[in-house]
Amino acid sequence: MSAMLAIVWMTPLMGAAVAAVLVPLLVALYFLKLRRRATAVPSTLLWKRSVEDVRANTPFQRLRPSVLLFLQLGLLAFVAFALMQPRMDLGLSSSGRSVIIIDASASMSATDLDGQKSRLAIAKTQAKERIDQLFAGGLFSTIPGETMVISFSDTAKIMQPFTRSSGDLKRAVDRIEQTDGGSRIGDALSLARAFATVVNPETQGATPSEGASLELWSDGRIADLAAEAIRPGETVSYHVCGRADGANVGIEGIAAERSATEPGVIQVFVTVRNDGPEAIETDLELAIDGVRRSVTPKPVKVPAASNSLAGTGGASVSATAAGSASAPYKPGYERVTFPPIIQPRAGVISVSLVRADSMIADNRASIAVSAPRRLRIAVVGAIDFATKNVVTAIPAEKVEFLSAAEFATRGVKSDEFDVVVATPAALPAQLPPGRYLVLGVPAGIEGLNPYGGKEKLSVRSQRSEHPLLHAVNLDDLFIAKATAIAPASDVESIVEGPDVPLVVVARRGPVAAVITTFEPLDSNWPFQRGFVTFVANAVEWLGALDQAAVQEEHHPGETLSVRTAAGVKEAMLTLPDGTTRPLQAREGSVTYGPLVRSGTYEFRWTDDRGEQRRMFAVNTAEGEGRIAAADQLSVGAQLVLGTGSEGGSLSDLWPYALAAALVLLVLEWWAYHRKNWIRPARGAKPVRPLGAIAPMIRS
Amino acid sequence: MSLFFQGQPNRKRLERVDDLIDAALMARIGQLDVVSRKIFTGKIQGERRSKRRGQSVEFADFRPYVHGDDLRFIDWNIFGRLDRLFLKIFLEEEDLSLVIAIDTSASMDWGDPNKMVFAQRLAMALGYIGLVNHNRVTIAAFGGEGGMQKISNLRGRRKTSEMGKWILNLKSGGTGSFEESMKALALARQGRGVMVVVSDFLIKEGYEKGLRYVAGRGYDLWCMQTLAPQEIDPGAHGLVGDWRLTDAEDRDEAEVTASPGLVEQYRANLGAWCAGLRDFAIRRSIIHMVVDTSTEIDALLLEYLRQRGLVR
Repeated sequence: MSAMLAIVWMTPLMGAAVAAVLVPLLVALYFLKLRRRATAVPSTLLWKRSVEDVRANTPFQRLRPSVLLFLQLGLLAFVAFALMQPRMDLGLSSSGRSVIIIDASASMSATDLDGQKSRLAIAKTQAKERIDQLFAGGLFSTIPGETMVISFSDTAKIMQPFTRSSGDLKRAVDRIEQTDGGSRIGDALSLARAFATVVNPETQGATPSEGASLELWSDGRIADLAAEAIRPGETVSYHVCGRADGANVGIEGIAAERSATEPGVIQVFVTVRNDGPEAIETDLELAIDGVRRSVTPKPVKVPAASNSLAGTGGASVSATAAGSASAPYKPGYERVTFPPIIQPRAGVISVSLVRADSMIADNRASIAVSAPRRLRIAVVGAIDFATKNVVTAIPAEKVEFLSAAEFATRGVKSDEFDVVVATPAALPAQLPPGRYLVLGVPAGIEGLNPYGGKEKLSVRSQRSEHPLLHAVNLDDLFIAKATAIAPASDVESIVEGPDVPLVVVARRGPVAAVITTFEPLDSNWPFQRGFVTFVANAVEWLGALDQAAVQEEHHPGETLSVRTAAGVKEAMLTLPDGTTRPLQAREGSVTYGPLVRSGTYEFRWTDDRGEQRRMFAVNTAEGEGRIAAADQLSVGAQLVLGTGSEGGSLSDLWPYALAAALVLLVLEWWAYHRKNWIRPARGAKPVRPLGAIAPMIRS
Repeated sequence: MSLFFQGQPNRKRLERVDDLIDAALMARIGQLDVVSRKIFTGKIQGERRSKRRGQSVEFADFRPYVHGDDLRFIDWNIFGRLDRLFLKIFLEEEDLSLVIAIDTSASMDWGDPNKMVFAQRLAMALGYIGLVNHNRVTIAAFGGEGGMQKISNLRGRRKTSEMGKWILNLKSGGTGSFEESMKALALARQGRGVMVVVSDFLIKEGYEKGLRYVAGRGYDLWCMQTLAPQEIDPGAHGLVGDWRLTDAEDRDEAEVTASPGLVEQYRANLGAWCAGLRDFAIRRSIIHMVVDTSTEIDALLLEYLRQRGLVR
């Protein structure tokens, strides 16, 4: 149901009562005779005749059309109107249950409305005004319905369950914090519906409460809107936050990579995104740990977004509401590669736009890099010669060859080796935390479900885009025999044989493993170049999972996890705003999440090697760069028209009504005295020439 | 503040005969004479030249003798020359009876200039003209408390002071019947002449019966309808707003809201009332005039009444 312009009456009965009393009184006064001044005249003969000609001489005079009466009635109407305290409402008034849903995603931090306040701040102000409307106090005000407050970005959060306390609701609105996450409303709608549902104890059936209305403050750029639907009985009021022509430039992605030959050299890659209708030029500034290190030699040109005015909110790339044939929205991208930078230490690399726009959250992107450190590899069990040769050829800090027994004792220290290359027989039944390349099907990993063997297999399909298979050609691979497995759904199969997986990736908590279902010597793979590449890829990928030379990029809504030594109990986390908080370490890892704000997160803990430090960079959620507010929402198959929400648009109307009443008062005063001004009274004895009275002397 | 708000008329008091008529006015109107459009017979030979042939010394015409004519008026010289009898006809000079009836009812004591004062001054001026021309002047006052009063058969300039004092002593007030007064005047008629009725003619029981008594009974009748400016156009003289109007004669009350529409309606009704009186007068050879009391008396006599033929 679309929102519509409406007037909310704060105290409707008050104005109605005043009008009901005063209007009849005024009309009665017109019926009553007036107190008159007395004077003598020569004869009342002609006067009575004249009065009879004009009106009936009854105890109550007939109500005659009178400008004064109409003016006074209009004046009273305006006064009554003002007493009702009307307000211009941009949403639908509701006396039932209302759910106030406020978008706190990154795009709501844009300051395009007034240049100072963010969209979220204005939305909070409007929401509190709305609460005032719903809970307007007054002598004759109606009883408000219950209201709850939900904020959402990547996830939803109930700020205040259903209550009739406007103070609690407004405090809940004030508690809503800006996030740098994306917009996903599904959880918020589920929560709202769950709370708004009334369970009938007799029938045990759940029915949505009648009149529940959802009031949404958002810019309409909600990723999962198309997957939602408005249910019967629900009303959705969409309060548009932001300008429809809001343009923004931001850093969409950032990556850093250390050189394979010179680990102290880092190269940084940045993708700049333009959501505006015009191409822009901007400089980029690179800083490491806050120290400026590089600036682009010339401004970077970022092309304009195509069809930037596609207005319907919904999926991040949405078509127009009516499904017109116009091209879908596509932002302009420009990829920038910075010259290699010498950074042998760990640090946080930040890239900023040297350009101001209305949304600053995405003008800066960071990535944390650790100090270059080569891998520590353990080779466990009787591994075949081919694999052994490949592993020993990998440039690593150390490669240790361990027996199954040695590994069972030393492997418990999960941080001693980065990657373990093993045969399945050499691994214990309970795998210690770590990352494994297993050449065969191990028994210690759940979800593989071996059920027999297969022979004479070839590759049917492979996921070439997977990092493990980068530059790996499996066309000529033939396998004499393999273990048949029926992997669980969370086990990723990257190479498939005719009917069984051949290479899978399994993650079980702190354990990550790349598993081949066959032994290499049971195939012709060791004699192919692809095998060398695969083993090197696997070792490098496993080593990079959480402690590689180059970090992954994180976004709000995700969870950060750090591996620590087994004996560590506690770690300290420094948040982007500088505050610190202690975190408990469990099973050799510390986790924190979900992330809310972008910036640098730093974990510190102490183990037997001294103080350890680990940094993460969290960047604004993808897709939030498009800040042009949608003027309507496409919820499933329905359209919800947005109501404008330029700052302070919920305004009182009673001052205008009072001003109109004053104008009418002046008009009434003028109309009353106009009778006296028709013919100004002249002197008692007007001096007239004889000619002027000649017409009166006649026969 | 306008007159209407005062409730009482602003009457200028008349204390002396000079207040009625001053020497300058007497000098200007001394040359005037009252004219009657009708042939009448005077009781004595006066200065007036009657339209009736009679026994005066002024020859008028001859006519053939018929049986029964007075032999004393046969022109014997013509009989000697023509041997036929002709009778000499002479213009008869008669005196004129001038009756001035003043309405002294309460309604006349109103307005600025006061209608009663205006009527007194008009009666004095007309009466002076009559006295100067040796007419029999009768001044009557009707409508007052004591019924009709009159001073009769004044003649000659010497009676000017007596007439003036009588007029000065007239008191307004009362609700005397117009019809009865006119009837009494008609019955007391002595000979023929000119009768001038000065009144506002705002008579609730109607003026028709009263005028019928005096019309057509040998009087050349003039109705001088005297109205104050405040009556003629009350809206221009401050009658605005809500009023309770009290009739000066019968204390009847009328509550009015003097809106422009009502004032216009009053003016229309007043015009209709005056037009009704005029139509009634025309049908009975009565001369009707509406006179605004702000009109100067000398201008009224020297210009308007002379034009209309009452004086010359």
